[in-house]
Amino acid sequence: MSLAATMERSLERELKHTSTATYRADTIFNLGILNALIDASSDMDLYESDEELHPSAKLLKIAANTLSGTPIEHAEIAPYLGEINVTWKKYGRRVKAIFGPSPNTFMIYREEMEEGKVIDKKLEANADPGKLHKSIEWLYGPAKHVR
Amino acid sequence: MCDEQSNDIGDLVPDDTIVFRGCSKRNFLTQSKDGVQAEAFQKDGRNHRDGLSLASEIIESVRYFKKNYGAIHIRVGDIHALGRGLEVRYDATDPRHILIRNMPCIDRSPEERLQAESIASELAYIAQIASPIPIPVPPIINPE
Repeated sequence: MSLAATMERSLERELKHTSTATYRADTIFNLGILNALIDASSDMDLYESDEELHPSAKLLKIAANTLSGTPIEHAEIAPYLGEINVTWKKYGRRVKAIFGPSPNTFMIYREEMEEGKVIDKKLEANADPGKLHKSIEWLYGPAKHVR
Repeated sequence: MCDEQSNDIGDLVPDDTIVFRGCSKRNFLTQSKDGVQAEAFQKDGRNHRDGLSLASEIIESVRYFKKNYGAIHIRVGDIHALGRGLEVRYDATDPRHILIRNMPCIDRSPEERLQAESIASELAYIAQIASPIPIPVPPIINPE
């Protein structure tokens, strides 16, 4: 069974057993984002080989919840060696949300380039949704170096 | 940096040489296929133990892929001129196989990843598209 099918069945089971008044730690808050993550994770054109590690279903659910409220319409989503990465770019700036491979790993990389050189960069190893929102604000904000 | 293997590393490739990197994933190029993305230059320690692989010919850059999505090219002198300590060297056992040495790995520590991500961006900036479409690979014919 494909990863997408497995995820969908898991999700159906979860929704069936979750009343609308009950919120658990793993309740999915944004199905649109989860579907986008599943689509990317199931896209074999984004894997170097059949053997390359896929992101786990648990990781995708955690990533979907973390990204809830974050605009992903213009983001690029790609699996990478068991990670799921979501990247935004604007005006020489790049913000990359890095989830996994372990479910509790969430990092944010951001950089600013000028004439082909990275003039400022930062990696937030212990990221959270608030730090991601700040990074997205920075991406679309006025030109200044990474703080 | 994470070049764990240093066997059979040959001489430096001359700066005026054009080298190729095959696109083993679709996202090595932008969606509109008019630019190179940093993903093309992500080096992971598990698969690239002696360096990031390039090739002297476009066909060789994609020959061993199950599927390819085109190829990019880059001038060796531009890699050395980044000032990041990278070295472009021949594989001593196969002059068509070329390696970028001293590249940080993306799958080690956060500190190394920070360097790996930024170097990947700079390499993507200086790289150009050699083919935005899959390259047909002719079979190797044994002279017998």
